[in-house]
Amino acid sequence: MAPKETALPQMRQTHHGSDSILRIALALLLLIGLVMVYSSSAVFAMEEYGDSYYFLKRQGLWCLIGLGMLLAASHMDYRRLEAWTYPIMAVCFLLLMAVMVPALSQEAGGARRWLKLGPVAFQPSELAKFALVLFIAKSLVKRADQLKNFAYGYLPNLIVLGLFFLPILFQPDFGTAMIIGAVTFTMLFVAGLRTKFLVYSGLALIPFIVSAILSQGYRTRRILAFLDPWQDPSDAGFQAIQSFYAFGRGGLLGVGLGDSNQKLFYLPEAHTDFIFSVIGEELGFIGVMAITVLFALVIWRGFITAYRVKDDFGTHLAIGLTLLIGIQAFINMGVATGLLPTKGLTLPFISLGGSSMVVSMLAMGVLLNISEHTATRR
Amino acid sequence: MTRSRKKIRGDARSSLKIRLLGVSAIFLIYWAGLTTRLFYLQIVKHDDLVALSEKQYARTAKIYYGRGVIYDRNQNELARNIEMESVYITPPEITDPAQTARTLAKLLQLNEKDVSRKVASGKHFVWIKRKAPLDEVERLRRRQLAGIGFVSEQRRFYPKRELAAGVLGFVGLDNQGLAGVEHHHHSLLKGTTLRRVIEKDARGRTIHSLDDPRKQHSPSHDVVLTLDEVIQFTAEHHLKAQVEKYGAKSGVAVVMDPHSGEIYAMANVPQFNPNNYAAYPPRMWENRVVSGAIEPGSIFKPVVASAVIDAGVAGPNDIFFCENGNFKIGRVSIGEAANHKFGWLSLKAIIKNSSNIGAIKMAQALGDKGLFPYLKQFGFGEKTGIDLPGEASGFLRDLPRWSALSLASISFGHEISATPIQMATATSAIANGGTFYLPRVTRAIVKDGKVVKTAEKPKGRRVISERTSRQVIEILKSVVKDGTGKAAAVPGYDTAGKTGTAQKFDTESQTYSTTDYVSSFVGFAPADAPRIVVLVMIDSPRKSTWGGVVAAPVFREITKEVLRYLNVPSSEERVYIMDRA
Repeated sequence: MAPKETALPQMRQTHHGSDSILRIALALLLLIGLVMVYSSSAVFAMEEYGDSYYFLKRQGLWCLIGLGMLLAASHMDYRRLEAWTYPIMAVCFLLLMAVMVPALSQEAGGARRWLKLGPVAFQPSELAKFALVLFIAKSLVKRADQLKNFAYGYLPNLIVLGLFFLPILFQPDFGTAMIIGAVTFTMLFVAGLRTKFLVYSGLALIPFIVSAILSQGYRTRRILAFLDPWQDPSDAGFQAIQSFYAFGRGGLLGVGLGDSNQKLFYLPEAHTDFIFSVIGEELGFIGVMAITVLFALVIWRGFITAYRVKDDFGTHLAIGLTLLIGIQAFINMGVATGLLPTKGLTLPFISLGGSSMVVSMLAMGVLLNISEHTATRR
Repeated sequence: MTRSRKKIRGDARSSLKIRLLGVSAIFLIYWAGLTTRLFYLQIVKHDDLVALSEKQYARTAKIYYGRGVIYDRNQNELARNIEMESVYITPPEITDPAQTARTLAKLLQLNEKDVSRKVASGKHFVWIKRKAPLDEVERLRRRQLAGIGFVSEQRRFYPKRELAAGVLGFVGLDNQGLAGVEHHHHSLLKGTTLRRVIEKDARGRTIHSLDDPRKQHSPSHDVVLTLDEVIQFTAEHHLKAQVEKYGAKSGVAVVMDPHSGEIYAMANVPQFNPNNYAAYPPRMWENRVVSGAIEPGSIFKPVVASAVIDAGVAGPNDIFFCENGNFKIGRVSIGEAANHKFGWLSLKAIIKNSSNIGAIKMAQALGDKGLFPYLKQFGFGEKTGIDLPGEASGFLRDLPRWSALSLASISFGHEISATPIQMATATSAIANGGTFYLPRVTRAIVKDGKVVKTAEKPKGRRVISERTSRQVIEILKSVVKDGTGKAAAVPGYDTAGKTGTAQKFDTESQTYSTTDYVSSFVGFAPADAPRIVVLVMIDSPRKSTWGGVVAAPVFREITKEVLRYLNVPSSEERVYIMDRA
């Protein structure tokens, strides 16, 4: 691939470093994440494992592995990924199937999402997000001329999405399934797919989603709890209320790092799904605004990269990877603040969780590499 | 690339730009919504939410469940849990406040005024009684009064009441192990803590569990002690009888296996009932066997004799001049107990008659540099490391700080302080052939009926040679046979031991008391193959102060019963068995 790069001088491609704003935003998010994971998990870790650093040590290790991934990915020409798309997808699909085998997987809270790999557990659905983005980007390049065609331009993408969407939905991991759906459709939309297809697909999906919600009692409860948490006696409403308390207690400047009261067993999943609420309590409105701005920066730089790179695969890939992080982050924040119903999604780079950390860092490594290949228009 | 393809590309790019801007706009709108929502929660509703959350903290109950059981060595329960019920009220729901208050007070045996005040408090939630017995609550439940709720809890219960209370310790209101084994093994025993918020809403009361529902209710570890409840009872029974008979302040007794360091019994008198520990003054909670360091007095002499013999300075039959009962070191004059006037005594006779001057003479033969390492080896001046909290290290002056008088004082058990467990452990080393074993009360840790961890027999360290041990045992046998400890003789068994009658040091007047003594006896049986070491110390007995009179009989009674209980054959029985062989 390298000779090809030099053979395309007419594209005015300049070789320069990766996007520095993106790098700084990521570094800050990671740093805040480590501090907050420790702050939100220390008491719980002490009670459960007799070691307040229990989760911090784990997260630190995952963070290092993630950094390794990020560096490796950012130093490898992203265009080579195009050739690896199908093998990666195949492996990912097999892993998703393996999760369904009880002997190989680990169950927690009624969901089978983890693959046992000796002492660590891995979530194939996290890798599936990356693999799917890769596929859609490649597919959009291949079918660039047929995007207005339903059967050739649209349907293949939809089928592959389904192959990933359904196993994840049945784990069940409703949150991740929604994310990959949203990312796929947004990628297709930006690529220029007929809006009509998307609208019809959306309408067709409605009964499906409604039945998925109604079929699982806890989802129904979560929706009801979302609509009025204060009237809901179940734990779902309770969770939302505890999150509101956390934000409310934080006020403008927060109660101070480490001083959250809500994380002391009131707020469930304080170090994972609801870490944003703990940030809200400890660092206040100012702190959470900083987080939203950092994620907004990531999205902005991701989109700029996508627009500037003079290679369609790079464009679509950059959009997909950016959306992956952006949509998940904003949905997580929406759930914590009660704008959206409760679902189990982590806050990328910040929540405790190895698989999510490693895959998010991989995605950002690739995005940084793409940003090296952009051409400045001026 | 043809011109038309370039154009298509260009079109695609501009369409891409527009669509990307569209997606960005959606993000921006969402971001604005998020910001507004955060502003609403954190700034606008700040005060309300703070107030609501504070209210919730006040209504949070921690409920402790499944604390581990403590067993004696034969699986008899010494500490377990019993089911209790806590009662709370939600005053706004109460229809007839006066009647409700009266019923509550009557059935739960509470002060009616207090209850009325709680009923009229207007709060949403008030505890009425925590951890009430089930039958009490059952009667209340049957009345089906409005506004009364119940939560199941557990209470720590010690079914044997005072038995071994000093060893077991007790548990505070918040399930914290406050003393004894309960404290030492708290992290293993603690069980599960469940946090519940009692929430009041439009649909009625609900109790939310604050704990992660995924968290398994994991059973706690149980602890098996080395104590034997029968031996423990025997020791407590005889000790208590003697303390009462002699009007003494207090007493302690230890029964241990000299070959492993396992403690069979550890008795403290006066006793307290851990089920109601708060009713006793805190000093009674103390386990003075490990926490009470005192000057041991004459029971320390065998330790000194062991050192003298082991160092090869003198044998049991070597003689020392005992100065006819008056010996001056510098300006201090030292005499014998009961104004005895001994002339020349063998080392054996010095111990048998408990001569202070003789003890000084033999210690001087060894010298302070010779004696000090032995004292360290025997474990004095530092904690034994027993698995119980609150252990005292006792006091042993560092060698460079010994005065001209130190060696003399230490030789008969003064200017040194030791805990009963240190004395019993040191005596065990003499009895078992010369090895110091770490004393301990934990035998095994059990979970789900399976042994998780067994306390291995500690390696032990050699203090004196086996030959020395045998020689000192012979000397201690003579103490019981025709010395100061005749009252300790256990019929049918060879018994060895040493009496002690130590003047108590009064810290206020900085002098030795002339009225308060500690009478003690430490010994073992059967003397040549010891199964148990027993130490008895009685503080400030009134009618007599002699260790041979006050403490030795307790030793005898405990030893007699314990040897029978352990099926240790008596001397006659042993002969009979040998004949058969």
